Amino acid sequence: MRLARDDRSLVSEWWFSVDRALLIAVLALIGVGIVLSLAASPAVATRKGLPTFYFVERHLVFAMAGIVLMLLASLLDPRGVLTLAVVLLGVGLVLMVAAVLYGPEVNGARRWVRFGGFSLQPSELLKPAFAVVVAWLFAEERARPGISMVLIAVGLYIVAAGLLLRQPDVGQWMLLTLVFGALFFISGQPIAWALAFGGIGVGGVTAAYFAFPHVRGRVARFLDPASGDTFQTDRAIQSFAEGGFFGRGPGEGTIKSVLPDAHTDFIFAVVAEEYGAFACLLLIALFAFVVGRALMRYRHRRDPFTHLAVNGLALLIALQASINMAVNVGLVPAKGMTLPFISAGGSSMIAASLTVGMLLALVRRRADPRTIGRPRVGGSPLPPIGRNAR
Amino acid sequence: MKRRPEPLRVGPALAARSGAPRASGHGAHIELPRERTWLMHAAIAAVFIAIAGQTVRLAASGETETRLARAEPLHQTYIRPDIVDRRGNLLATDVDAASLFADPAMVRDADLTAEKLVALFPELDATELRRHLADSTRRFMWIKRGLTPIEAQRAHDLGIPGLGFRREPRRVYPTRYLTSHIIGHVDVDNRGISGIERHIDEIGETDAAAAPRRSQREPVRLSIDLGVQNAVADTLADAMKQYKAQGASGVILDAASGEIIASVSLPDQDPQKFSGADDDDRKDRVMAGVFELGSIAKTVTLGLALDDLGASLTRIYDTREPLRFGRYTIAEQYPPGRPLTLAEILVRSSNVGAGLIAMEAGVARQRAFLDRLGLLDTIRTEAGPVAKPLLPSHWGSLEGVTIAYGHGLAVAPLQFAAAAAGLVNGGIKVRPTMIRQEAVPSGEARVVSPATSAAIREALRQAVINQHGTGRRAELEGYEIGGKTGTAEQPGKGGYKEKTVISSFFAVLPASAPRYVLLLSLFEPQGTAETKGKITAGLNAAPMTARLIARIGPMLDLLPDRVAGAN
Repeated sequence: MRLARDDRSLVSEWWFSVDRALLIAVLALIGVGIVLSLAASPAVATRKGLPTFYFVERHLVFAMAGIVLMLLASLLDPRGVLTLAVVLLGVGLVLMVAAVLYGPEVNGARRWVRFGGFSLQPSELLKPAFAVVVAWLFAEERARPGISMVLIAVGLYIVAAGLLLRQPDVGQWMLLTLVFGALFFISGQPIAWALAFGGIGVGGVTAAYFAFPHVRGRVARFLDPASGDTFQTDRAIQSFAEGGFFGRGPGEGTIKSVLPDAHTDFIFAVVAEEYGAFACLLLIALFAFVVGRALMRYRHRRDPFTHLAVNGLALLIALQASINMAVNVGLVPAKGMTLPFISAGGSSMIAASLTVGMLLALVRRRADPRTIGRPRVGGSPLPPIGRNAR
Repeated sequence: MKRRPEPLRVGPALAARSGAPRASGHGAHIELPRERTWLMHAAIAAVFIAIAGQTVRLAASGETETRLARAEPLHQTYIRPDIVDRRGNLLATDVDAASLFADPAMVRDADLTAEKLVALFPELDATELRRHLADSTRRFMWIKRGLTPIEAQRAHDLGIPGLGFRREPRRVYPTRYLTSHIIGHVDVDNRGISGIERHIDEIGETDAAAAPRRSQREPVRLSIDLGVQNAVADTLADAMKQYKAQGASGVILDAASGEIIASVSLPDQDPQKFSGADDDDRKDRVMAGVFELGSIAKTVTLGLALDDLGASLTRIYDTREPLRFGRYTIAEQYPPGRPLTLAEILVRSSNVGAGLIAMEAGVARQRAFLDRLGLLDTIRTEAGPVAKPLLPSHWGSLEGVTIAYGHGLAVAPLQFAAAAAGLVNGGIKVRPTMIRQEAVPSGEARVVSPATSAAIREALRQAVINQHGTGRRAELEGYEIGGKTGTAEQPGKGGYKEKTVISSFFAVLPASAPRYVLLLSLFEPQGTAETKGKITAGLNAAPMTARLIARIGPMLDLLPDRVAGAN
């Protein structure tokens, strides 16, 4: 298919305005995820008595669905992104209520809803939607001081956080809180408020420490490894040492046959053991590129909503990836957090795809609103091709 | 198709980008605080850099020691020190052997694999094996452990996927037949479960390990002398044949240190058949069985008279009348027809005399004396517990009298030998040990006075050299043997059986300055032409002891006087 620049169809418009470097980086991540799924999950599947390629097949299906969803989402304009986010937020909240009320209990938490044979973790969908909606509320506040959109945003946060803690899902709650706090901070709210919010955040973490025994246990084991069984993290850290810089070679790893979460929470350690630290650095670089590219592309130029939404979504990916990897290398206490696009898990894959899809939509090259409507004499109503207008 | 910006209804922030006129007021000039955004970006960058740094740090830590995964059954084995005899002959050691395991998840055809394995190792249970091999969720199962090199090669040559070997230490016993009852056994993980092997575990001389290696520890040096052990076993086996006995036992103790130089029980356990260990006929009679040893006990009674009653060897006892206790009569076997001295009570093995001593002492003193000697204790050696002495349910004066001449109290031969060693070695209590002692243990209690001990030795020597001595057939020219016979009728249904006896000889060598004590027993010997149809110890156990001493004397650094004198 050839697209001409003067073709103004939806696809053509998308093709010429989308950030191809970001797109390629994300597709590369998804590809790496499929390869690593082949490395890590057969061992886990066999141990669980499932068909050898059970997780691989699922990963492929969700990766394809994720790509389609991502591309569809990237077609949207900012307003479309907001609409999608509002819908997802509503659906996500309703499903989370359903999960808390009717969901099956897995490992002592109610996080899932089931539709026939398909399970969904609505909190995963909630996160990007929440980031976008909150970004819009803060932007509205900036644009129209006096209407307290911030209060609405805080209310929304309290509802979502309450549901997450009710499940309980402390990890997702921390992620949500960090994103909310960051948006609150960079949207230019009074610094006193930001500090107050930070204080509440610290208080919340402290409360979680005391309210949830498993959180307390994990922190205690992190600070004092002798106080409990730190087998998973010990073993993960050890695999970095064993892998060295070049790894033991594909298929030569042992951690995947040992750790129950080798295909999800500890996939980074599998990479380290089989492919070595250089491969890990490449993976870190890929995530850093996705995040950095999105942030650099849209720095401070556009309207507050896009600015905040891009920052929120990018932060979401950055946080999720870095928390997962930090757990693997033993920098933070064990926390069930998936590595976006890489870990097995349908909900996580769909959510990551939607996040990046919305990000792609927001960073598409578009006319700067400040130049539109003020056409320059003799100038094109569209910015020059290949460069950003300014 | 051209798209045009649609009117925006979502809100002023979005309206701003449409360039709607109303937004020109301030919407287009909204500036977010850049510093805060930069701060956030810097924080994200810092986190990524920290993770990358930690990744590199871990990779460069070079900690490459491979710890085996815990989800897999980490095979722990134990490295054991060698066991050697007192002269350093090897009795037990670890060798590196292959053990065959399967990874059922890797086995392609469980039926075929099981079939081939059973063909090679017929003792395997085919059904069980097939069931486990077919369970592909398992990652590990043992097939057979401790293979010989040939077996391992054959299993390897099957060429079946999913099988593998692990190296494991395997315990081997080069002199198994002579010492198996002392050394004991290890289990499949090379942990001691009986005998000296268990003792080694209990004193912490083993090292847990994941793979076989040589133990760095000093060998465990037993008190056993393999040469003497062999001579005892040989002599006992010959005597069993000669006197048509059902069994035989022999124990030799160092009289001062309590070191067990030899300990033999025949017939012995077949070391290849561990499961037969509780076979009663083959149990270790020296330590695991208790027996009434008959007149040998008069040695103890003599000690009681000398030490507790202040008698001398020349004190006269009127032994002419049998002792009567209700329906029981205790009479002499060889009535001398005259009163006997205390020494003669032992030499001629006078039942009445022993009974008179017990009656004079009374039950309480007799009991206290036996207790002091350690005959009533429950003792143990490094090879395991010694069978507990069997005391009479009621210990009255009748029982006191019978115990005085050797019936009513059953003890393990080892325990008796140790008690008797204390009587003759100058009066210091002896604790039997299986481990070589560098020096005589100090601080042991005194059981009798040195004078008593010397008198007992003299009486024992008399029993061998006196023309009426029951042990005269134990005399061996050049060796100053002292000793006492014992022919104990065995309790059976409805009383003692006259024809079923244990013939024993207790010897002290040399009698004037004892270095060793011996206690040899024949179980249920029969009369032969040589013994004129008799089964008394003087006719079988005593000459057997002389033959043994002639053989082991030189091994124990005891040369016959004529040789020693020539130097």
